[in-house]
Order: sequence, then structure tokens, then C-alpha cells
Amino acid sequence: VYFADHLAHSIQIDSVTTRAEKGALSVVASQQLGTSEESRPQPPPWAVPLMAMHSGYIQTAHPEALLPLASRYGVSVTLLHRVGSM
Amino acid sequence: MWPPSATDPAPDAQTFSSALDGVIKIGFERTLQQDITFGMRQLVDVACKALSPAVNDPYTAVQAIDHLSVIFCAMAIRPLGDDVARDPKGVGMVLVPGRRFGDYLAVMCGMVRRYGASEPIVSQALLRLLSSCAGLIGDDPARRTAIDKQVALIVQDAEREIAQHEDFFAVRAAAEAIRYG
Repeated sequence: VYFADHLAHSIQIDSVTTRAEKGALSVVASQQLGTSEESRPQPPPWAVPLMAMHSGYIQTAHPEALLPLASRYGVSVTLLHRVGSM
Repeated sequence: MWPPSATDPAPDAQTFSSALDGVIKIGFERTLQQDITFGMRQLVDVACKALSPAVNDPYTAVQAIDHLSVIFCAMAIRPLGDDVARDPKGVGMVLVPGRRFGDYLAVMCGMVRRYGASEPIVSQALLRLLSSCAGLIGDDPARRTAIDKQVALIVQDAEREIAQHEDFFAVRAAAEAIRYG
């Protein structure tokens, strides 16, 4: 009975919208949403494309974790798609 | 990936592909780990479906816009845009593209505006969202311009779609309160 009651309430539109808001707010509270609103550097003609090893949606990205390798080789790396894109 | 000039040798692509695989997580569905637009799109979807002729429930759309407003207010005071990691010596850079405040407004408000332009309470709810943001952004000129642009689009669409002048006047008054308030 409890499960049926929970299910009936959880699919009501008020519950759905409240969950969506809380989910988005948790991202705002816990994540860095961006560091630069300057114009974005564009890859030059000599840039080398790097293919992802899997297809799907980008769920998370941590540029700071790749920075030591980029610095060691003196290169710039940019993703072409945002988090949440495919 | 690119070295500083065309004459500098590029490092081994496989090395970077393997490293990228470790720092970028790719999956079959969107998640709320870093993807703020996922929750926003759910709210926009609710609003757009509520505004469809088959459902015709503008108040549910207004509720969804009010929830969106809370998220936009939280974002209005935060740095947005690209996530850029730079080496302090300037010899390396990694960039993950991200939306600016105006991009978020254009995508999220735009869809609801287009479906709800004929319903004054929907236009007014969107204007309330923009008014709340305008009170929080301080003197950020780019964000102010983005808000003004959305206000203008809402007024233009409402003027075209709302048949009753009296209904449109309420929308225009709310818009002018943001522009000159």
C-alpha cells in the first residue's frame, strides 16, 4: 500500500517539477558552472582531432585533470561539445 | 589539440585520447552530475507539453516557469561560460565549452515563449523570471543585454499572438517595468 501511494504521488506534476528544480539546484550548488565568458579560442588549421573512445552523452568533464599532460607537451586542448551534449 | 605553432610537432594522439578517456565520462543518458541543463530541460518539457493544444493547461506551464525562475536566480549570481584550465606559465590549456547566461535564457525561455506566446499569464511568468534575474545580476552588461533581448522577444511575440488588446497591455506593462524599473 505504501509503495502504491508513493508511486501515485511521485508521478504527480508538482513532484516531477520539484524534483527537476532540486536536481538542477544541486548542480548549481556543487559544481563550477564556468570560469571564462571571454571569446573562445578556435582550433587553428594545424590542430589534431582526437576521437572519443565511446559514443554517448558527455556526463562529466574535468579539464584540470588533463592540464598536467597538456602543460608537459605545451599544447591546447578543447572539447567541441558541452557537458550534456552527444 | 594543437601545439603553439604549425612548426611545433604535435604529441602522440593516442596518449591524449587515453588520457581524455579518463577525465571525460561518456554515458548513454544525461545525468545531473554536472549537467545543469538536464533539469532545466525537464521543466521546459513540462511547460511545453502543458501548453500543447491537446493538454491546454497554462497554469502548469506557469508552475514550471516558476521552478525555472529559482534555478535562473541561483545561476544569475554565479560565473558561467567555458570551464578553462590554464597552466600558470602559459604553456598549456584545456577548455570545456559552456553556455553564457544569455545562451541559457535563449534556449530555456525561448522554447516556452514560442509555445505560450498567445497566453498572457505565460508571457507574464517569463517576464517575472527575467525581472527576478535583473534584480540579481548587478551591473553585468552582457547579462543585462541578454535579459533585455528576451523581454523584447516576449513582447513582440505576445503582441503578434494575443488577440485581446487589454490582455496584451498587461504583458507590455510588465515588460516596461523591467526595462525602466
